[in-house]
Amino acid sequence: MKVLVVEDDRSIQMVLELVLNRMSQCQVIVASEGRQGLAMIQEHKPDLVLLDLMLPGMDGFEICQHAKESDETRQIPIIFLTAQPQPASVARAMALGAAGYIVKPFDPIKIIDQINEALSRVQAPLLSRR
Amino acid sequence: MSEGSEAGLDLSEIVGMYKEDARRMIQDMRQAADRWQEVREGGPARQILRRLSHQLRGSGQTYGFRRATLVSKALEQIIQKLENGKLSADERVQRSVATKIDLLNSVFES
Repeated sequence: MKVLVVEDDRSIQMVLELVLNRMSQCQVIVASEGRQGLAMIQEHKPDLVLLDLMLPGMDGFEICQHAKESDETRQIPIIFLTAQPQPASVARAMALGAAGYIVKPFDPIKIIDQINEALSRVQAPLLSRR
Repeated sequence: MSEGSEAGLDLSEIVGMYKEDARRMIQDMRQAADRWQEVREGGPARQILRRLSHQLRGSGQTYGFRRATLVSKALEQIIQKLENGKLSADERVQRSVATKIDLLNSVFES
């Protein structure tokens, strides 16, 4: 199970790597910049993308839009993980084809359940839980 | 945050790194706030304050620092109001920003 985290905040990268790796035995790859994130989606075709919204270079909406426009990456579930709680942002993300929208701050203990809950609306849960 | 309460998960190993990062970010915020003319005019100092308060708001509570998230949220809202023209960057606002940065500093001092 390969998860791509597109996030420019090192502290969030660290906690997601720790939680996803230890609790769900995922391989976690990280992009800290928007364009790099889109390139890594195209190159690695991860099983899941956790995507921040405010990113340097290219924002999360643009990344999601590009990923969903391509036949090669359209099926990859994308979950937004952002500190932007505005309903308009949630609606835009979902309209672009996101599988879910999780608002920071999040509880590291609960994040896997939140991810699985979001994924269960579009497919079977992906992450195991120790 | 429930430290180490789940099998295989001990967040304490990264909390120290987070606190170091947070202290650096608060130092950058203080330096930005000291350049108040730039904050008033919407220059780089204002963008630094907005970006860092947004980041601390998103990460504080995740690491168990709920107060950091609350204070950062208030700080980010001030900056957003400056951006929207709903607040003018007068001395009262400047003092409020400085007080909030001091509060954030106190959260991560120990």
